[in-house]
Amino acid sequence: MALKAKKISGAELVSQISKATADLPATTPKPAQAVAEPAEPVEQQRGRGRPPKPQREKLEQVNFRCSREFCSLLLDASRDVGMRQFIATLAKKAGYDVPEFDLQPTAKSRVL
Amino acid sequence: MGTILTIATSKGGAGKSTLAQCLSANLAQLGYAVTVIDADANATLSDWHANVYEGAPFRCLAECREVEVIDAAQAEAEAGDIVVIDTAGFANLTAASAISVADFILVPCMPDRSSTREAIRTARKIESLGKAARRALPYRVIGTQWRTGGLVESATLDALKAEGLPVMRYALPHLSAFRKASFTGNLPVSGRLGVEADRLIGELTEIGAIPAARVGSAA
Repeated sequence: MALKAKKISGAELVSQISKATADLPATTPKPAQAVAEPAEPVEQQRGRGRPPKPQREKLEQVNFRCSREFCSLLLDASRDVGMRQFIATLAKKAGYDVPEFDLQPTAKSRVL
Repeated sequence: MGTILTIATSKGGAGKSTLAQCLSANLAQLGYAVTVIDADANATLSDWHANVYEGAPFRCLAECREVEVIDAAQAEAEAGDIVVIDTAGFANLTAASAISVADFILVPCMPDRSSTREAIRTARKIESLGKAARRALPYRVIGTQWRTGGLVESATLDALKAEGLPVMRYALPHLSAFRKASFTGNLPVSGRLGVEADRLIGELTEIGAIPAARVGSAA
């Protein structure tokens, strides 16, 4: 970090930066002006005529308590694939019959 | 003298107050003497602190005038370890003052295009304010509502890096605990949120944004 600048008052600093802040408004905004009503109602025919959404798998929430170190370890280990897929893969390797849905949660995956 | 850490971006709802809450509660828990200056006229953070917050104590002031915010930050930094300034979510004079007086600036950025655009604009403003104030104003962009490894997060990082903006290694995760805390006032300092906050504070200490040693008395 750079050395701290010599302490100057608020008024001096505001004056010093005034060229860079000439285009900025004050923090307290002016009272909002009335917004014109839209010519047509906003309500549109959303969703009409679309095919019904496919049924989602019913999901359960799992929480547990653990040491801070183990929590940190889990966060690191599952950083790339997510906690669910990470644990599912471990269970699969241990010989358990793990649902494919949990091993490959591709439908909702945001992972690259 | 303590450190002044300003949280600023011209994007509203990008996680400035949430980041200020998370950092302040966790730093106070670690024993730092923390003051938060709420420089947003909406006073979201100071209202939360006065009426809802439950946790390790820290001071919180509401000051959104552009001259007074500088004087208040300097006065608070004389007595404490860290002054966190939470600014309003649009480009304004008080945010410019808070940036100019800061030792370090964090620019929160959610994983979406408009947040990224405003983070870049804020970074450019910080650079121009640094030139006007004739001193370096170190800053980092920090991800908020972040899901590590997500496609949108990757696109956001690519856009920020293409503009040459420095980005924090750790981000504020997308957790419902923050929204719950807005009602309960109980910001978890343990569990996943606590671990993520520890990492964030560790990185901020590493880059000099937060003092490693506590110089002030306990809050």
